[in-house]
Amino acid sequence: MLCKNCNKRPATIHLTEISHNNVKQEIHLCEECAQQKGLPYKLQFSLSEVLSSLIEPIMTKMGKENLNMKCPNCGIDYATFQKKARFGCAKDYEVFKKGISPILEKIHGATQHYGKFPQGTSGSGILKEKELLDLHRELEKLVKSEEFEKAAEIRDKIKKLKTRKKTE
Amino acid sequence: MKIDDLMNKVGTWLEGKGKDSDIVISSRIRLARNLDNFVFLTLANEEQKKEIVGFIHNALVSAKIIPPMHYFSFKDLTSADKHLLLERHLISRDHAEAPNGVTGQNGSRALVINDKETSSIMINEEDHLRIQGLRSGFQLAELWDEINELDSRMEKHLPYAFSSQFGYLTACPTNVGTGLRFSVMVHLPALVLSKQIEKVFQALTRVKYTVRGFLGEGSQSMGDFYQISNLVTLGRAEKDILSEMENVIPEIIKYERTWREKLLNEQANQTKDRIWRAYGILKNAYTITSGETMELLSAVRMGINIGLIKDLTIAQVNEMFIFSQPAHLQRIAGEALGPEERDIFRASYFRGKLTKPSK
Repeated sequence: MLCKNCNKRPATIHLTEISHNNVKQEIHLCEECAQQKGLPYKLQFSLSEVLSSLIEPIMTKMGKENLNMKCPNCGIDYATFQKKARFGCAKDYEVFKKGISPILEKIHGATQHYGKFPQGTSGSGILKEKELLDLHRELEKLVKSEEFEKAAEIRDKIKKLKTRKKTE
Repeated sequence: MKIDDLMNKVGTWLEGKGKDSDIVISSRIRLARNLDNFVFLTLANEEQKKEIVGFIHNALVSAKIIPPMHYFSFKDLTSADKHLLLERHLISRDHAEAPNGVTGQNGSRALVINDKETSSIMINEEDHLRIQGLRSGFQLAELWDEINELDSRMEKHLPYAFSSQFGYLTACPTNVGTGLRFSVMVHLPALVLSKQIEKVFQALTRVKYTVRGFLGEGSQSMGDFYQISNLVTLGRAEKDILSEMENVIPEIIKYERTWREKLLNEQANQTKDRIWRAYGILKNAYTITSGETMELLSAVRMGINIGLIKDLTIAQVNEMFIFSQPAHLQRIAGEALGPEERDIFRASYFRGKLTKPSK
C-alpha cells in the first residue's frame, strides 16, 4: 500500500482516527510524511519495552513483599529485572520463580523445559528428571490417542522411578 | 586464519546449493548458553568479562574445538574487521558495535569460527555463549545435528547454567529452555509484488514466529529478503521445534512459487521488464546505493530462478550481495570510503563483475 499523502513511498504507519461524531477513518502514511505531520508514532517497540509491559501487571499481583526480593548471589532485585527485562545470574530464575512463571507462560505458553539436558557436568540427578519428563510426555500422548494399555505400562514405570528417587 | 582471508572466498553457506536454494538463501541455528559460576553479562564488569573469555577459551582448547576452529579476541580486531564479520553474518550487530572496554581495548569479547564459515561461537554477546550454525539452502535438520554435536562436546568442558524446570538459563526470558532459535532467510519477491506478504506475516505471527530483515534483529527488510524464526524456546523439545519449522517453511516456499507463476502468466511483460531493467542498471550505472542494490539484486535473482537470465548463477548473485556491502567494498578498495564514494565504487564493482570483456 502506498502512502496516502505522497503516493510514492510505501505506507508503514497505519492509524485509525475517530472523529467527534464517531466516524472512523483509516490513515496510511509513510514514515517521512508521518514525521512531517508531527504524528506520534513508533515503528518498532524494543524487546525490553514489550517485556516490561508484560512484567508490570504481574509485579502488581505479586504484592510488595515479593517486590523487595533480592538475589543473594548477584544482588539484583526484582524491580531491576522488571526494568531491564534481563536476569543478573542463573540463580535469579529460582529466586524470582514466582514472578517469572507467569511471564514465561505468556511468552512461551509453558513453564517446563522439555528439551535437551546437559550430559556432562550436571550429574545424574538431572538425567533422572529428564527420564521422568520423557515418560510423562509419552503418557500424555498415549492417553490422547486412547492407547490405555500402553499408558498403564508407562504409568507404572513412572511410579517405580519416583519410588527409586525417594529411596536414593 | 586472518580476517583478510575472508575476502578470498565466499562462505559455503552462500554457494546457492541445498534444498530449495532458489527461495531459501540460508538456514541458521543459534543456541544461547551461559556458565553457572559467573554472573550474566547484564551485570559483569570488564574484569569479570575477561575472566569469562579466558575460562571459555581454555575449555574450548581442552575440548579440542580450538583448533581446528579459529579464535579471535576483539582486542585484535578493528571496527572495519568487525563490520566485515557482521556483513558475513558471523556476528550480530550488537557484538560488532559494542563499545570498547574501559581500557580502550576490548578484550572482553571474542569469536570462534571454522574454515567454511558454517559454524561460529560468539563469546560474551548477550549471553556468555552464542553458538551459531549457517548453511546454504533449506537444511535445518542437517545443521541441527552438527550444532547439537558441537554443543554436546562443549558442555562436557563447560558448566552450563541449567535447571530441570527452566532448561538452559539465559539472560533474557525469551530465550530460556532450549535456547534455540532456528532461522531461515527467504527471498520472496513474488509475494511482495503481489502484496501477499502481509498475509504471510500475519499467519506466522499467529503461530508464534517472527519475521526480521536481512541482518537479523533490529534490521529492516530490504530487497524482499526476510528472516523467519521461531519465538518459543521453552516447553518444546528441539526436535519438535525443528519438525514444526519443516512444516511451515515449505508452505511459504510453495506460496511464493505459485505467485511467481501467476505473475509470469498474468503480468509477463511487467515482470520481465522489471527484471531486465534491474540487470541493465547493475551493468551500467555509475552510482548505486546499498538500498538500491538489494532491490536490483533481488530482481536479478528472481530472473535467474525463473530461467530468464541465463548468464549468471545464484552463487554469483549471493556473492555480490555480500561483497557489495560497505565493509567488504572498502576492503576491496583498500581504503576507507565516504558514503558517496562508496556508491560510485559499488557501481564500478558491479560493472566489473557483470560486463563481459570485449573480444
